[in-house]
Amino acid sequence: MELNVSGNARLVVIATFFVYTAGMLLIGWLAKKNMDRVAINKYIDEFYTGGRGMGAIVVAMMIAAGLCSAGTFLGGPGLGYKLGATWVVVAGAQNFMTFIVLGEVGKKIGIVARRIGAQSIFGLLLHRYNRNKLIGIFGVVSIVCFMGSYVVAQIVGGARLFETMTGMSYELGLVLFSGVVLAVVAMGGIKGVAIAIVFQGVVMTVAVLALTAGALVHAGPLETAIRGIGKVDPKLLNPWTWSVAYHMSMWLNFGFVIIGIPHATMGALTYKDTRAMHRAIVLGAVFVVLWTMTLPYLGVLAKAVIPDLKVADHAVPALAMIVLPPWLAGVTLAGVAGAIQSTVGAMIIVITSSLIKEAYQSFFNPNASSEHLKKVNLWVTIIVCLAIFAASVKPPHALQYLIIFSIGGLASSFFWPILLGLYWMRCNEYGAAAGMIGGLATYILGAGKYLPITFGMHAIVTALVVSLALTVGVSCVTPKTPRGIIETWFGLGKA
Amino acid sequence: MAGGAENDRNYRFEDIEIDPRFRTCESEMKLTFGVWIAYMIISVGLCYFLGRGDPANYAYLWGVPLWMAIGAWLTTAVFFVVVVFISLFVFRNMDITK
Repeated sequence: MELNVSGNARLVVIATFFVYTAGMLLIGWLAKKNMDRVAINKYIDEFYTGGRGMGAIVVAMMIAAGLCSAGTFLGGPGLGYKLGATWVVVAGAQNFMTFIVLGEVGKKIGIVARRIGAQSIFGLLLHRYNRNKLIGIFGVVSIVCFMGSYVVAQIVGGARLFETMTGMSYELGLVLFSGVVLAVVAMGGIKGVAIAIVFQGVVMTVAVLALTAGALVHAGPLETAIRGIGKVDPKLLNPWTWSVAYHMSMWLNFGFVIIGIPHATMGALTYKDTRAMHRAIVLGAVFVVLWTMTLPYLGVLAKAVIPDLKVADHAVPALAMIVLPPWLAGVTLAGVAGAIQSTVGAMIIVITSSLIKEAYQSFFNPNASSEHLKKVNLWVTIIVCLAIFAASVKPPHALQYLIIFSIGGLASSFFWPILLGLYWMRCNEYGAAAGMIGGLATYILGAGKYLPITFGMHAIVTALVVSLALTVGVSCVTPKTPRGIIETWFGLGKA
Repeated sequence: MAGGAENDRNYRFEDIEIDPRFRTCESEMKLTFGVWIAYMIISVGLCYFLGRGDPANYAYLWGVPLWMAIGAWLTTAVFFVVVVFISLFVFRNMDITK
């Protein structure tokens, strides 16, 4: 079966989606008004970290909705539909993502970022690793390429879904899915993204609750529906579809290593105090657990309602069109849009902050005035947005490779250098550079199946082992990090 | 500190006076890792252990196979309480502006 939407329902879906989009534009405009009042010398800091004054709900949503993208709202339920119950166990790995990010690195990043005025996680890394040029170039290139291609993949997925659900053109879908969020970022920086993310998080949650209730009512008694799925294909109810080793490695990939993904740690740069940070962990857990403990299950349950869906990734929207009234199906589409746009917004902030603060200001123009930086910032943001939009209109073939390696590639190169940089004094720039490059290379060789080095597990495991060995090994045989940096990162910060 | 000392790469780590807040950060990091790894092992372990055998013979609880109800739902609920408790009562508040 394909995802079909009747004419009348279609109009209601479109209307609901346009209301959501209007809400997003209003947020962008409000954020711009707010940014217009910011003093010029504080503009960049406000644009990228919101002046480090954000409350619990914003920080929670920035991590939760920033990390939960089309993967949680389309791909995950799709895998639930295809693979069945084993996937719902894997999805559990992301349940406590705010706990992982903030508990592992949140406080220390908060303190050190304030000491050195860092505006991005990459800026922190560069300071810790003695402004090493190799790390600088490698970091900027991998962030721009991997995150840029991931953003394109998200937008393309969203626009295709829009095309299917509304019958309107793919290009209009692109404009609505990407144009809106790009405008919000360009106008309001992280403030725009932050307010939008809270709004999007709420829409995502309403969509999930409505869909869960609708599906449960429609499917009838849960046990009968589940037993029915078991009769069609018993494998769908069996967690043993994957080996325990492979399953655990998927958990590491979706949970353990997320501090290596640059936009995940953004929340750690923005919270106002530790009380807000602790509350953000709790609030984030409430939302992520709610999404994660429903959406993949709905994918499985969709098998009972629509057994012959052609595109598994359409499980959630197809279910919405069947079990919900059209306006709530429109809210579900808006929820998917919110999931995609919040991730896109957060990633664009990471990309532009790396380009402007870490590439342009650090390496090309260290004495740039605040006014000059504001101008450059606006242009770079616009150029990045246009480039992403252009790539989404007709995605280049090579992009596929970047997308496959994007999140795992970032995590395998940044995980150890971030963690060890924060907590191990002996770690230096030589070790970090070796670990980053070695981790990424191993991941590409393993995930791309160029070499048989995954041992029946997700490629992230071998990549992490290699990256750890290189970071530690090379650090130990090369000189210590200059004392001033260690004083800042471990000492009382007098230096 | 003089510029030369700042760039010194031949010093002893013992001479660095550690900020006590960073010791707290480190122990909280270890606790977070520990709790998350325990969650992974218990959740995956229970799901796989209780989910052995033929799906046609599964016991059911709350409308879903027992392994799912216990391994995924109940375990997550328990760890949710643990995470909330740790975040609000174990993690320490500190001044992060110095």
